[in-house]
Amino acid sequence: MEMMMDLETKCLNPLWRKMKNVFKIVLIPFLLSCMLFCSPEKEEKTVLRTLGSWDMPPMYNGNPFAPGGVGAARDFIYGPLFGYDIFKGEFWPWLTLELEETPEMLTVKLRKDILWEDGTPFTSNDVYATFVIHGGLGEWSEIWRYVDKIEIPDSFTVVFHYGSTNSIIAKFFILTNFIEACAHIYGKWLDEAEGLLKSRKDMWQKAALGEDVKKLSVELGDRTYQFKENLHKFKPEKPVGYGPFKVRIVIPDEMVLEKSDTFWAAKNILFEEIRIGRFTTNELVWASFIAGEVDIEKPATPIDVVKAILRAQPKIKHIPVSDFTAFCLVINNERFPFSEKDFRKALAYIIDRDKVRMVALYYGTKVKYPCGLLPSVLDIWTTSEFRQILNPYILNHDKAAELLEGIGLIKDRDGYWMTMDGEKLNFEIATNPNTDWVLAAEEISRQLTTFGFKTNVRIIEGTLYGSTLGAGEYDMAIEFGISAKLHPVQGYRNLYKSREWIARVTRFVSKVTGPDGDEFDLDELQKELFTTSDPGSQRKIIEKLAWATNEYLPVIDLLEKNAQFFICDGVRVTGWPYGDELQNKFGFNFRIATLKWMIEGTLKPGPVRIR
Amino acid sequence: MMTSMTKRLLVSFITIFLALSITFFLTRKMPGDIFHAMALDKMRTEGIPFDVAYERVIAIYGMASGEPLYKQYFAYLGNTIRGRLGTSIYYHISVNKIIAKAIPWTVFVCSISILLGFIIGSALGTVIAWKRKTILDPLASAYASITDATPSYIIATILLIIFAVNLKWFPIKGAYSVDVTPGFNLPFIGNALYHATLPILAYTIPGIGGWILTMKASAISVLGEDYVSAAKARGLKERRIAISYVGRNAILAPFTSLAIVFGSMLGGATLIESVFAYPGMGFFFGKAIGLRDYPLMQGLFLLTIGGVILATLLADFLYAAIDPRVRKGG
Repeated sequence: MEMMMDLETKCLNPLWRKMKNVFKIVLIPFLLSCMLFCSPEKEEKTVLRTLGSWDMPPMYNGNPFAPGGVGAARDFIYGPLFGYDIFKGEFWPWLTLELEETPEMLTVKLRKDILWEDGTPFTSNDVYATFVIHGGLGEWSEIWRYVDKIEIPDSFTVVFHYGSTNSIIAKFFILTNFIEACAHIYGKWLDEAEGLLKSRKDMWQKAALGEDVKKLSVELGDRTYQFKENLHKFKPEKPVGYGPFKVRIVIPDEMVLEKSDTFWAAKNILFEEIRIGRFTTNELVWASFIAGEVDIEKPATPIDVVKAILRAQPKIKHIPVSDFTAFCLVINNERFPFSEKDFRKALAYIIDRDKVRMVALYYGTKVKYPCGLLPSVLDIWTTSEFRQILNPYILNHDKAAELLEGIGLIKDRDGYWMTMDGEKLNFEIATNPNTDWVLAAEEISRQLTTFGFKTNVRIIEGTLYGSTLGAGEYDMAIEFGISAKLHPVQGYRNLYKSREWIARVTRFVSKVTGPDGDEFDLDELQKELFTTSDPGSQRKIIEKLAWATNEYLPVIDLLEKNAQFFICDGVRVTGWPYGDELQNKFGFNFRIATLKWMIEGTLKPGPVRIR
Repeated sequence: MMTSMTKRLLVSFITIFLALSITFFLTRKMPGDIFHAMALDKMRTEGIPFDVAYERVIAIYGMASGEPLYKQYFAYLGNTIRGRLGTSIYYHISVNKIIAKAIPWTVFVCSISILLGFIIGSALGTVIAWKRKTILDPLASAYASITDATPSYIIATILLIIFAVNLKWFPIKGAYSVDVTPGFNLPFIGNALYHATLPILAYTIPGIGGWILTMKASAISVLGEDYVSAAKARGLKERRIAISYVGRNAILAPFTSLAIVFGSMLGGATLIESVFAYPGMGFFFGKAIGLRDYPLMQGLFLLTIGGVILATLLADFLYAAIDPRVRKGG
């Protein structure tokens, strides 16, 4: 201390004096006035705070079809025709009143009291414009390949005419995709979009008949590109929606939505604002929860951080809800010894799946039967008798060794497995750099090495990962092998339809022998399921696919991923429902669920208001 | 005969040209298929088939059929000379516009941090050199070693946890709040300063250590000079020797580094900006590389390279102004 004072006296006094003067004269008044002016008194508001992502201004714009368009506001300002409870298998109306379905068509009756923010009534023209513009852009082919045309007999009725080939999931997409195009604004692009859609459908038809459509495809690609460029040039400052909230202001870090007075149930909405913070990194989201600044979001969170958040904010609840995807060990079925069914079965006996879950995604759901069907919907689609014949592949190293010896593998003196020719079997598990994926790969690698297969982990950068797997340059890899948000057929298509992602990567030969010695093709079976509307018949096909997947293991399901919801109840927002209602609705879309509960009066403002 | 300044200018232009050409080809030779990765992501999140997801990604972000690389290169050079940095592939807006929006935030935070770090670090460095047998010396060295060895994003995270999450003195993230109107007005400036406090500290804390060590080394070497001994022999006051003889001469070396640090600040600090969700150049650097957005990447590279070269050039000029020996070609 004495030394510092000495120093100050000797060397720095003149400088200090000057600096102090500058500080007194300039900086203090400046900072004081800043503090004074930057905290004006404001009204207290009822607010729900959540997180989301959007492109920062100047990229942000109000065109839902353009890059940078709408962002996290989407769910609050637009909506689907229907919501869907996957566990109940029921649709619930959102922009609609009724739904009629025949094998040939799907008819929806719209609500008559919906208004766009600018006061224009929401009609069937808007639904038509949305579907056609997306079709013109080359999107929504999961619908347009199965829908011949859309008819709008009146302002509030939309009829979707199915084509000769129908799909059971086209209906899900039709009913749950968001309606985003107001015809009075985007109508000027409709003619061009209709032309492109017609050309695209013609091309599909010709391709189905075996005609060469290469030239047609290039020409259509160029036309679509021009259309897209023109459409993307339209960049209104804010989007025009019809939901309970409308965009008030967007800055790099925050988006503020205010209650829309034109919403059909505006009187039920007791929240004046929704404030959406930017979802940048999980770490920042955790910090926001610990600081009590967010009411609802679903960051992937390790167990220790979950505990820290719950300790810091006792009013926060942590609720895992199925993400309807499963983490899998994807296997290159073309390479020896992975091409051997018994080798894949041995892998399933060696890997402790629950340990992998605990290490990689603690809040995931355990997979009891690796069969391509998510654990959360297994009971819905299979009978208990059927489940008894499925193999649970409980950890069993002796059984694994027996299977390996059965295909001619032996152990060397050090306890490592090799072929009869003395070739050592060393493997690699590819993974992209996501923390949970890497943890899963490392845990499996450790387990396999302990068992007697030296296994390394190869971390591949995100943009290279897909192409590496697609080229078959891997032994085993971590992937979301099963994704079935609406129906199990989505997962099985992914596994067995030759052009689908996991089928491409696993290179599994889909012709297999059934339990009774009969041969069948899993690709054909998933196609059959894709067009079978009767639930009873669907169940039978699903059981057949599940059995084959369980027996042949083109992939090994490790765990079902759960989204980890953190809900702050009783501060700014109160009345969150829990249990089945929450699981059902959040499984579809948690933001739409939140709005539904606001309209129904379940969700109310809590005691804390925001200035 | 060319003057030394003309030579330097010429070398700077050649450096920029070479850097531009190398970055143009290198960025295009980066492995990976961003559309493929985006499609996989879409497939997983929206539960749609891969083909459909790929179609959707191409419909939104896809480019027209590619021109030959050499044509793209000449077009790029031509446009760059005219000051047009192209259009972002991902955002579909001019790169100039994106940079113009991001650069003020980075310059705001970085320039304050660099200046603060430099002033504090240099002053402490001189003091420590002057009093190097005291406790201050090992303390400063320990501080410098610890902060230099700690990645700045860790320091940022620690600051965030202490001052934003626990004490709640500062906001967790962002550049300003929605309640102020951006512009040259006191509420906005105050709000921006308030939001920038933690990012500035995260830059400054590790910066100070480096400057302390640089300045200390430089000052110690000056302390052994004859003119310092002569000044002492003449009986000049310690304060005058410290500031006019030691400080002024010792600052030359750190000054050059300061100019370069200023130049390279335009690249932003991706990790710090990411920790505080700060909308500066670093944020867009990360985004552009991740998305393989070549025009945006090139625009940002150009700015960083240009900044460093310009700063080096400026350092040369200033060096000449401060040190008469350089001015006279000594």
